[in-house]
Amino acid sequence: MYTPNGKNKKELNFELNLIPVFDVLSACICFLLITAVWVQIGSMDVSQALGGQSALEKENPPSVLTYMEASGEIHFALKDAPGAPIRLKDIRIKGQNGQVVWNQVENYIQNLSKHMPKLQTALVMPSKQTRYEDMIQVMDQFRKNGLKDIGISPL
Amino acid sequence: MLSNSVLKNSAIQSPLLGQSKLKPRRISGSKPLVFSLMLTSLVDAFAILLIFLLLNNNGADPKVQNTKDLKLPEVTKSTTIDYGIIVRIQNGRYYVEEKEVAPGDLPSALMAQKNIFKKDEANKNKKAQLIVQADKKANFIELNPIVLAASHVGFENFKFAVLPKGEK
Repeated sequence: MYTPNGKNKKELNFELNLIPVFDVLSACICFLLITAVWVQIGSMDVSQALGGQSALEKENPPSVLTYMEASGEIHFALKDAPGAPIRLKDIRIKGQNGQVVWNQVENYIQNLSKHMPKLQTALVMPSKQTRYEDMIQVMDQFRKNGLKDIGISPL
Repeated sequence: MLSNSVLKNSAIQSPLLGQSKLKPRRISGSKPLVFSLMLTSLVDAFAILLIFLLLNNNGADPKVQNTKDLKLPEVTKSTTIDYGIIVRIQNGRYYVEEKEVAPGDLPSALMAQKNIFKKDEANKNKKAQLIVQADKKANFIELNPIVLAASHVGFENFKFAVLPKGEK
């Protein structure tokens, strides 16, 4: 641009062509949208005892055995827990219309972990017709209340 | 700058220069024919979306797919799946690493997969884990062969694939 004095003046405006940038970005985004995992799958960890240890070697830790019936009834029985309150040692929670009564199960497990903070082990014993989601829910309740070692007994 | 730019031969007129209040540079007597689209904000939004997707694109083992006809149970407390041998039960059929297996052949199939896992140098310090994927409505009798077979083969750790509550 020439000024009236005849001196050149430098252009101060700078234009950046954003179209290729936009193009690359949209290609990247389309690729990531197609490959994105929107649902994160988690896992419920269970540890199985495989034996190899003599019964006399170690003192058995307190554990809760959980028998799950097809009718929705759940029977909790404490094992190797001499200091446990009697009302918590052996309890049956009956189902309603073939379904587990979850609020009673939750209350029991919460009470159990409150009165026995050292309780870490649970063994779940489902029946043939026990639903998989019910079994997982029971394990979830145990995990929520601090029981880390959960096992499943096969039929 | 515009005189040295590659746009010199392609630009009809500059939308930016045309908008100037002091000295608008416009072809005199003509109406602007170019539709000027301000891409800066759009590029900004796209860049943020890209960064979000890049950060989100990690985590769970991609082999564990959440299929439409397999509804996983939901839990409140779960851990992430990092590695493992996947066993899926669907419509009464058993699949070990996507290969259909008869219930009687589960122990041998799991043993074979465990050996493959152990042979891999990357898994030298890792314990073989089993990832079980089953529909939430399945009965335990369908899962029992897997639990039995895995115990026989020597899997100490089981991971039941679940959905964190709130995700479907």
